[in-house]
Amino acid sequence: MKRTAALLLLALALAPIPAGASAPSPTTAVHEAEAAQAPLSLLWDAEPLQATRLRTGAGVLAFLAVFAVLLYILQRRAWAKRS
Amino acid sequence: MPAAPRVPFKNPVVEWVDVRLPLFSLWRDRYAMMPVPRNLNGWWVSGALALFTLAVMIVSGVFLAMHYTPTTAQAFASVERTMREVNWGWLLRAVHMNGASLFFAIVYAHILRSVYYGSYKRPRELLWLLGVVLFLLMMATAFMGSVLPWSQTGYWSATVVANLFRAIPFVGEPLVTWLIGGPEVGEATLRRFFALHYLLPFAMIGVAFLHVAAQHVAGANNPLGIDPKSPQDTVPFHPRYTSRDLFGLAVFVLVFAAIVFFAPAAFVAPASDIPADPMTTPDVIVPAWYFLPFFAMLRSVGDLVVPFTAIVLIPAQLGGVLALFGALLTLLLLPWLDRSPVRSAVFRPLYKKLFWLLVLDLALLGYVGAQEPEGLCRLLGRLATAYYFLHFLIFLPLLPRIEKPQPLPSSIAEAVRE
Ligand code: HEM
Repeated sequence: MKRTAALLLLALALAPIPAGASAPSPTTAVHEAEAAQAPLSLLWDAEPLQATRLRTGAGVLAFLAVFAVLLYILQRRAWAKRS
Repeated sequence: MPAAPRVPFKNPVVEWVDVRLPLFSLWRDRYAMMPVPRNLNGWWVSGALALFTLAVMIVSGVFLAMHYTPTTAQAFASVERTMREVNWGWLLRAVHMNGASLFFAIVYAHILRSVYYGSYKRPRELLWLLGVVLFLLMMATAFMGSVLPWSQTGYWSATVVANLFRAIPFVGEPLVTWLIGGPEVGEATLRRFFALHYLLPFAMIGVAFLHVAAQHVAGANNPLGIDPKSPQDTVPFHPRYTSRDLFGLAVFVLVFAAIVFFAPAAFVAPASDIPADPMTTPDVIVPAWYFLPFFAMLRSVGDLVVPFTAIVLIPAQLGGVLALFGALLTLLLLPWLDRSPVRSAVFRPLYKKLFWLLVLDLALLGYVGAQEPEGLCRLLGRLATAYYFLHFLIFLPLLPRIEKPQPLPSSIAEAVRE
């Protein structure tokens, strides 16, 4: 139990820092003008949002996957214990 | 509070606080050490997930509100600006929009769990009623939220719903004027929808607290639907169920994140990217998927005429509104419609079949709700609406007379051992 808890803390400490926090690129204004008429679905796919979105998403999912596995192990141990 | 002597805590700070305000005792006795049936399955994680999602909706919503302007002239532009200029604004919006869909998915699973295992029956009727109140608050909140971006979709669905309510005799017209703040959906409507959309989720926190409190008084139901009789039938909530809730939460957040980052527009309605225009009606006005079964009922009813004449007793619009409210009222009455003393569908062979037929019926209504109400779809919609009421108002009350339940196990512990 203690070891799993320590592993959880370790995973939290090592969590990837989201890579998307950079300043908006100078081309944002141009994209904006174009995007003003774009359908919402296209808007989600528009640069520079899209690159940030996909990059951040990959990091978040990787972290969550590891986290979920650790929590699964924790859960298994809690249920294995007698009493 | 029970009069039993309190057990002191080792940590002096915890003990100091607890003597003055027994928060830690409350947590320990009512949560961590609370005995819970040992046989709960994964469906019992749904309540914790619903609470979590409510919190996520409130937090993301408060931040979105910081950048939102509730005027017809500015609303659409302010939302676009949130998406493109506010730092992480697109993420806030993706979380809030998809969160609404996931909230409904979780709560539908939660309701179906309660219906399958008979969790609404004595002594949990009030717990069920508070649940239905939460569901109504959720629907009102989601509907008003969908109007806020002042897009074609939101504007026209508000107009369509307002027009339907006008059909209520005598009070319809003044009622709608009062609700939307004028003769038509407009400035006043947007402002009050924003105020209420912000308010109702906090009311939901209050109701959810009572909902969970009621569950702690009655104790949790379980897949067998029989009461725990001895300590062997239960385990303390912590660590087994706390750890399982956490694991369930991690899986849920994983799915949530996958949608938010890789398919953020998955649930977006067709005309939600066009600013509202009272002069152009969009070709199709389809509500969000979670409203579709109810939308289908609203549109399925035809004029009710006196047989062999052309005298209209109940016009179609009014009939639709009655069907919608009737369907929701039926949910409130469920604990008194199902008279069987056996809770769980596991031991009710006929009820189990009817349960799955009802699920099919709701799926069919959902499909019909997304189609034009013509031809075959219109017919299917009517049949499916009729079946919904048949299930709750006729089949359930009659079932105990026909059905022979299977013998119940003598205890949870014994059933688990087998
Ligand atoms: C915002 C929405 C809701 C929240 C946050 C919520 C929360 C919870 C929680 C935390 C529990 C205890 C854990 C569990 O049994 O899963 C619970 C139990 C329950 N809920 Fe809800 N709930 C919501 C909506 C509903 C609705 C719409 C219904 C029914 C119409 C409902 C009916 C029940 C019942 C019957 C139980 C008791 C289950 C049992 O003891 O076996 N809830 N709810």
